[in-house]
Amino acid sequence: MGRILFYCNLFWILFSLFICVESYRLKLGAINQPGPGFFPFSAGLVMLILSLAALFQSIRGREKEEKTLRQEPFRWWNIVIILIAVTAYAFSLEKIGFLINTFLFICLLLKVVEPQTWKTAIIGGLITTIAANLVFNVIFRAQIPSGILGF
Amino acid sequence: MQKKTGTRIRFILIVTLACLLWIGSSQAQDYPKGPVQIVIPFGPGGLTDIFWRSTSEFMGNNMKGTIVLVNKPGGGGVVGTSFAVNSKPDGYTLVSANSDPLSMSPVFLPNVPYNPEKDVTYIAKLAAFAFTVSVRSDSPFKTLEELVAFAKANPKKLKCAVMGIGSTPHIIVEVFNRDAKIEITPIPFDSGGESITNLLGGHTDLCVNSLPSTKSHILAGKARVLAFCSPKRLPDFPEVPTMTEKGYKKSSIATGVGLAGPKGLASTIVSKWEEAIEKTLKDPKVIAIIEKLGGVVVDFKSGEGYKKELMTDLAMFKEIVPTLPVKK
Amino acid sequence: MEVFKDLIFGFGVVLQPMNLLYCFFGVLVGTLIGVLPGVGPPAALSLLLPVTFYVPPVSTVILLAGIMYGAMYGGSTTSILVNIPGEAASVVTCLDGYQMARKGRAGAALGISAFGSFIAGTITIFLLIFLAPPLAGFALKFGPPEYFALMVLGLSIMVYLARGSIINALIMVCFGLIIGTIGLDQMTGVPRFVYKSITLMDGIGLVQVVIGLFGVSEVLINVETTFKQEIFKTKVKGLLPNREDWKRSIGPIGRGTILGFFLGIIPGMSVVIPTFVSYVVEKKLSKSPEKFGTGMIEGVAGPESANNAASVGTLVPTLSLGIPTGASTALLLGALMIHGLRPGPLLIQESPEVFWGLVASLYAGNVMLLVLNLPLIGLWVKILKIPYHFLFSLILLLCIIGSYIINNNPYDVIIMVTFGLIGYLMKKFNYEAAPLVLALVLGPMMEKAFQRSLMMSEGGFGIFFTRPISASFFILALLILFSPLFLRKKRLREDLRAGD
Repeated sequence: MGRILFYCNLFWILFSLFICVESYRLKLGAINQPGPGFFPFSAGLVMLILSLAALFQSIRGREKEEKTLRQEPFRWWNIVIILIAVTAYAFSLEKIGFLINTFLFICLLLKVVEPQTWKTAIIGGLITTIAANLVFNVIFRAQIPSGILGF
Repeated sequence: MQKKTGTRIRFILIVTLACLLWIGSSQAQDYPKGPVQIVIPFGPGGLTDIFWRSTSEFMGNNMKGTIVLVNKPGGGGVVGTSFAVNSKPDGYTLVSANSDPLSMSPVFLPNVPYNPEKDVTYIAKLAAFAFTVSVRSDSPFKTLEELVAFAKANPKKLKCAVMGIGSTPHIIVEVFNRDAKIEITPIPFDSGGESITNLLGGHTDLCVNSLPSTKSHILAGKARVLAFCSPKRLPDFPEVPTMTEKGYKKSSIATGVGLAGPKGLASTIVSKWEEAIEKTLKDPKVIAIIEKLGGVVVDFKSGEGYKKELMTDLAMFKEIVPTLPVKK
Repeated sequence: MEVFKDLIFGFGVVLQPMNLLYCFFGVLVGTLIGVLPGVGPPAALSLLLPVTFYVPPVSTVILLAGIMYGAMYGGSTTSILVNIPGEAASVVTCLDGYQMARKGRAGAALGISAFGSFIAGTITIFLLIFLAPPLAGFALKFGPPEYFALMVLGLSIMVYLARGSIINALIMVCFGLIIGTIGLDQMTGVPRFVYKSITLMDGIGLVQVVIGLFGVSEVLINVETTFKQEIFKTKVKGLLPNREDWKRSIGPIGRGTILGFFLGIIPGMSVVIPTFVSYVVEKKLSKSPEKFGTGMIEGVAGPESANNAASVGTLVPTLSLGIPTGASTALLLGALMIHGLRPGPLLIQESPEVFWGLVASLYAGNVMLLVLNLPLIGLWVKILKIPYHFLFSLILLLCIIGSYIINNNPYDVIIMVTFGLIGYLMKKFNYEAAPLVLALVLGPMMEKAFQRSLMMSEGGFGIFFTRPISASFFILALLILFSPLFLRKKRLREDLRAGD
């Protein structure tokens, strides 16, 4: 745990340095006439101080080591898949359209993340898509794009 | 299974083709297919906001669509304008084209993220707003002259609420400063509503604001108008002088409000809007509503006409602004 | 008394069958819309504004009031059920409400939320009637220095919001402040951290962040391991709050109401802030503060009441001065103006039936909300019984649609996903989301208030301390910030003594 914390704080240190540099380029102005960069610079500075402090704390090993036993496999690939799926949904929504996109999305998630039978996945996808369409496009008249098939 | 798949594929192909043909033919005629978002680049309660909220229903009817108004305040109108102008030119994101962010801010602010000449499709001008120079009713200044006299004796002491850096009220104050040789400090807020609130709360001494935002307070006796920034006296307030009368002609700047969209907006969409807007502004019901607001002069111009007006203003401001004693 | 006569007159208007129907319709639609993440009262109101045009003025007002209430309540529903804040103000409800749902107590959470909102609404409506004019005057006294001081106070209470490491929480605050600066600077128009991206120029929206940070990250955490573990205890222990729940909640409801109302009066005060304040107050007053975040009903009762109370509070300056305090009230005003009514000091005199009709309708809307939603609790709880391996895909879909609908911009979904990932990482490394959200809300307001104050004082800092209201806020903030030090010294001494 201590090591993870070390890297976290290292990240924050680098991040705050980046912010400070960028804010400086935005012009800080004087304390009584702050420029655009003043506020983010101050926030970045405080973050830098805090993360340095936390870094020292973690080095000194004040944090107790927690050994968590993993009884079940850590399925990081699920997370990656979900992230990619949602991102893909976002980008393709306007090209492919709401209905198809939703259907594919649900099918994909049901089949891959927590494996179901093909039957379950497709039925689930259909029900969700139809229900969602009813709710959003019909009832709320929301502007969700129709895409290729025009519906 | 083979036979079934063959027929199925053919069926899908036919349906797809039919749909594609159907979509292709119905592009512009179907506009608007859904709600059109009109961005109001100021906060709620300000004049632009009130104006659009009072008239958007009629406009939507004439356009046979729904208008959804969205506030995106900040930077004197720059934030909202840039958002709309930089979005997709599909006709579903438009902006209330106020003259401030389009003809003034680009001169005033260093990094406005759009070019008012090249990046904007102007659809129409709707109206012009006259501004007021107002104080609280308990203020010691009863006339403009008293204000100027005090300001001359106490430079930088008076604070004036305006709605954003680079907005018309801000410029009015700066031009006034230059012509009267005084120093009133402008304090930028996000909207006309905020400006009048801060005036009433005593946090600023005066406020240059639009009439509709201020009118109810004037009628209730909480605020007082020292002068209008318009070439002629307004019919609702015949006893109040204008800046022009008092010798500050250059401060009588009215701000225009219109409709615009990103560059590349289809001309069919533009003309549809032009027609609808012209029709709306001639509707007696709308005229009555606008009259109730006060200080709004209906001034319909086509997109081209508005663009010309704004570019002329832009050139004029490019000339004036460097001469102003403005601290950045 | 004059006021009661007017109120009865107002009720007379509201209790007409047509108007009651409008009220019901408003609340129903409002709730449905509010359940959708990312769509809160302002969006609901603007979506339905066109409808009001075909309706007479008084009924419009009643309809709009119903929508506002419904949308507010709907937002809490998703917060409790699936950890997705329906709107920014429901973020705090997620913290303990969702945990309650996981323990099988969703019904109690939903119930106390409904009741708390109802009680808060009732009390604050009376406060509105009697105290509106003087309160409005008080609200006006808030100028930029007061706002800045208030924001500083708001950030200082952050100290108590943190469950774990305070340093980590403070880092989150800084992170939130920095994220809040992304976009065009409001005062100078200069783009900050935008890197030529059009989406970023508008700043990073609170709703997208919150949906990702809470909703998506929760899904990600849950799919890490197999679903054999029950995400939600399917045995629901009773649908409504029991007596013990009530005993624990009465205090928070009362405090939340007062806090929410008085904070809501301040023009421009986002409804989010009172909910955070209420949460922190309840945590501080509780006998077991460390349990907050695991399903303490006080953490739901207080903020939900504060939410409702604040919404009524925002009506004070709106109705008595004609000054809108935020998106919802601006829409309300706009609707009134379209009908030719002019809110402000003259509204009560010129159109009493509208004003009193509105007040009475607020109350009716409140009752309608309770009547409508209590039976629905059973329905909502059933949703949780859907097996998680299906439910999670629905949740994700809801998140996507919710974030897309804000601006019809797919990049908002990207922002949501990004923060979903960030939120997931934060959960794994023990960083809390709530401080980030608070900073994201307060940051921009704070900066503007600071700059304006300095303009008013021509660069002098004295302005913050010479004005009574802002000075008192600063002193309060200092006290809050440094009190832990005193407490820690005391505890240290006690520990040492115990150790001997």
